[in-house]
Amino acid sequence: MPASEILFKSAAELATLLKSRKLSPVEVVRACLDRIEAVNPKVNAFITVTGEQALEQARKAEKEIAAGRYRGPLHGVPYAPKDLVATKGIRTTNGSRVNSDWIPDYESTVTARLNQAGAILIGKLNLLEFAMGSGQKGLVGPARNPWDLAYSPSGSSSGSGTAIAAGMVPLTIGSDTGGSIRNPAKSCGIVGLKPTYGRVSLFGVTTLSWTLDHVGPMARTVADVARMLQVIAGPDPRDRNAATAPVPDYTKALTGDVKGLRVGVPSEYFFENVHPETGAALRRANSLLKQLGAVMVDVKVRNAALCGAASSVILSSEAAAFHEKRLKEHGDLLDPLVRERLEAATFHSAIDYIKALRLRTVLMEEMRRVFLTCDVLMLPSGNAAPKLDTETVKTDVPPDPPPAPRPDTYNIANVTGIPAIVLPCGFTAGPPTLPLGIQFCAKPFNEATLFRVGHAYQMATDWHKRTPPLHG
Amino acid sequence: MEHLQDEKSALTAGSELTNVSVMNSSRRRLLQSLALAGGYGTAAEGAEPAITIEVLRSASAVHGTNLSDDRLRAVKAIAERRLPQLRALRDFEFDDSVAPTQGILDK
Repeated sequence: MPASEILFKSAAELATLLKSRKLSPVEVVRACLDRIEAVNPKVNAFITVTGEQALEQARKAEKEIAAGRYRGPLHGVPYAPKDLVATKGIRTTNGSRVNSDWIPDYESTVTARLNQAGAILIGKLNLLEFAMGSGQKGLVGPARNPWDLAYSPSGSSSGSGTAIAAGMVPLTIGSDTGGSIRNPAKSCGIVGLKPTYGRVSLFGVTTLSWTLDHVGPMARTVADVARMLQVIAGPDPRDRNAATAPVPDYTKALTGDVKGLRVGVPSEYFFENVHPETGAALRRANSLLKQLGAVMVDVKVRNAALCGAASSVILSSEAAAFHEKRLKEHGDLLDPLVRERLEAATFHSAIDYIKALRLRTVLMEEMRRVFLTCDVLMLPSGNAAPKLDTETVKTDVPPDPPPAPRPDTYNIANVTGIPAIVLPCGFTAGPPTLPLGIQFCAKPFNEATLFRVGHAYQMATDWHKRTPPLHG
Repeated sequence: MEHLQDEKSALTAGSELTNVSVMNSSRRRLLQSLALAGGYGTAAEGAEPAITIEVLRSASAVHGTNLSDDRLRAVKAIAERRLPQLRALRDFEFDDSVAPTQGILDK
């Protein structure tokens, strides 16, 4: 099969071909490696490429499948994690000059489970330094948006979004502390899931904020994301916050049926100041879901505007505590933005932090109330990707003129721990033509409901089938 | 801590009336510094302190971070940007029954 036909297939499509031996894992890995070689100089998605190891694993997978030892739908499918996920014996940089030569002697739970399922690690992906940098001054510079190289893929899982959109690999892992999976998923026109807090073990994932961090799957389709979560979810004795709640069979949610599903649409805050093109795309999605049989429900999320304050204090305080030694000993090696943010956080008081945790309690109760009236909450996923040079935060000069206040649509899921998924729902008219995204949230541990609505939406649309005009 | 010791010296030294205004000013600065050291808290005398390099320097000394003036200048801009969010958080009126969330979800 020609490489061009392999590169933009979903993992589920590849799995069907691999299982039936119409396609070899070696062919798939070679196609991905060639694509990485051709386009990585343009998009800068990969920090490390593990070509030889990937080919060795592919040959092993080929033999296992031929011998009838098929491990499941990820067997022989390449993947790549954000480079803050520890991989035993493989350099893990955190996108930082501080860790540029760190080779872990242990494996993260998430990569261990993917490897066990037969997925093939093909490299490590670019990110904003320690998941909180500017993206401009990290270890290898910024990843670029395959839809237009002058634009940002957003962060902090920038390489994870770029690599999928550019056809370099079908599955990636990102991390999300305040939208860092969902924002790049939106900007790159792919699917990203922030699971429920504790649903996926964080063992081996470099901390940004102990109580806001999540690790999760990114792919072209909701069905692929569901299959990845199936593999990486579940209890883990090495992460005391990992949930023991049973992991359901997520594929059962991939029915395409949303009849009677109650979709809550907030009447206040979240949709304020949304760009007209984003607003129009969301209205079209709303209409489509109604046509498919979903029931739209007006909801109000009280105190939503305060979520950003709680997130800011919790995130920066925990990050400053985690990085305290690094900041003292290697501050000069950090992206200036990372350094300033960490240093500024040392001025937060314990009372501020406790108040933020009390506000989290209030918001969690509020979300419990909201989900009594709806099954999923539909939210914007920000506007289209920003230009690369405007995404750098200038810390010494206030923006002039100040930007219009935009609602914080991501942090509500991190602060309250609920699962959230982003999928493509349109494109800007352009030029440039950039993806737009829609976000759904659900009750804790109800990822299946997100897959149900997301898969039904993707069956009725083709936004996820479009590919960027990027040539090697 | 050196800066705080200077403040203390200013407070305890002194020759009477000529130093009254100095004492008041220094005391205000010290109180502001201590309030800030616990965050950007409201000054004990009622007014919210401006975020100045001097105030940040004192707070940094209290924390033990002892940031240089260059670092403090960088921090000042972020601290000022974060202030509205902190104010919103501080102004939120909690019911006494609201405890901080720790283990964040039932598992």
